Amino acid sequence: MWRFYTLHRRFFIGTLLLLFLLLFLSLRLQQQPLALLDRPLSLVIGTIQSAVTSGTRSVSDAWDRYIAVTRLDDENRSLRAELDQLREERRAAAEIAAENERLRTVLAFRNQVPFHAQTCRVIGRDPSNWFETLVIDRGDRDGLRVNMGVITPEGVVGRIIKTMPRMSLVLLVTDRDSAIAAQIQRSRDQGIVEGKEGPGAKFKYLPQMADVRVGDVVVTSGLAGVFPKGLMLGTVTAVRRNETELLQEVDLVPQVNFNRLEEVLVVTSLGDIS
Amino acid sequence: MKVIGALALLALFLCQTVLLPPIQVRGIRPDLILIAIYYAGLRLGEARGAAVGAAAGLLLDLFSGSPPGALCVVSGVMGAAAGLIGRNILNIRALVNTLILGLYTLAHGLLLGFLLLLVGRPVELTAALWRIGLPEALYTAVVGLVCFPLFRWAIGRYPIEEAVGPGALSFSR
Repeated sequence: MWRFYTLHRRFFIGTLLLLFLLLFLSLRLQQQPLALLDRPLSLVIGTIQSAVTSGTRSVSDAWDRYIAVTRLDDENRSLRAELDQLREERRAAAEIAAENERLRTVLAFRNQVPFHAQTCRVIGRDPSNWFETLVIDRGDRDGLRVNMGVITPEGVVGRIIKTMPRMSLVLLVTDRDSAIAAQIQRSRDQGIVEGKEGPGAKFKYLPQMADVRVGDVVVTSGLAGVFPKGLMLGTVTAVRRNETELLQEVDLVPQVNFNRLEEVLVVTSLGDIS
Repeated sequence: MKVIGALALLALFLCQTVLLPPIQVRGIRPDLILIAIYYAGLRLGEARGAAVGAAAGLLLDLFSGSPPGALCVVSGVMGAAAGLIGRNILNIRALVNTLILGLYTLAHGLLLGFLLLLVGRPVELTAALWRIGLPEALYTAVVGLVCFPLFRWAIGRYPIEEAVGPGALSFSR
């Protein structure tokens, strides 16, 4: 039998194909058995199709989202960079405005005082904690000399102790080596304001009978010829009177905040006012 | 190495005079130059430590209200002292080193105070040490903790060719 089949295999296969073809071509057979298969088959195929479509859609959506996020990320970065730049510009503008305001104040002060002064920038501080000086950006090439007074609209800063071609060293009022001729604004009692160990300064050589109280304003007396008369030095914070002493001990707090100094005026000539 | 050392000293000087003032606490700043002198003394020995100290002191004298030459002398002595410390101590832990740096800074203040008295400056030594010397020592010691690894890194990039001799200092954490 097998031998017969193998001998006529082509014939058998052809016959089978023909039979199948006839079956499928038969309208009746097409309507009946396929209609039975139609429902479950369509259910299975439909489910698979739906799942595949949904999966494809999810992948497509995810891809679209990824592309959108990537674009957003780029946009975000660019916006952040722009924001940083704008912030920097705003900070610079605020800095320029503040500088402008300070220079206006200094210029207005310089224009209203009856002596000659030169505007300088503070470019450094004393490298040591033991001395209180600051460095300004003008020197003897700009006409500055040792012992010239340094002031701001708020009051006295100190005096120049060293000049170099393009910079000068200013000894602050609070340095222990500083000494400035001063007087109490209210009572006109005179003495010397010196720096001391610790914050602030002291008003020395005030006799016991001198009229000085806490809160009194101390101004320059103009005696030494370094500063014009009447510039603010500070306010009295403590007065110590000892009956056995000849002089009073007076502490004062300077009017100028030396830590925030950025521009100062150097009194180059007192003219004929001192 | 000498040029790089000089440039590093100059950079520290600029930091000290321009960048540090905003971080001062009650008017006191850490002394970066003194930390550098201490480190140079430890690494290079007395003679070269003294030379570095004197050079740094000279730079400080130019831009400070100190009596002329005072900081040059004091810094030179402190550089030599750091060299002596380095020669006698073989291995220092970071915390011990910080403690030594604090005492070293205090000694620097004391020496400077005495020198100022010697040249007739009106210094109240006890008050000055209490107000300046002690806070400066504390602040400098703390900042030294940060500076030493930086110096070590910098020296690692530009190694010192010559040996300092017996007792050359090494650090351990």
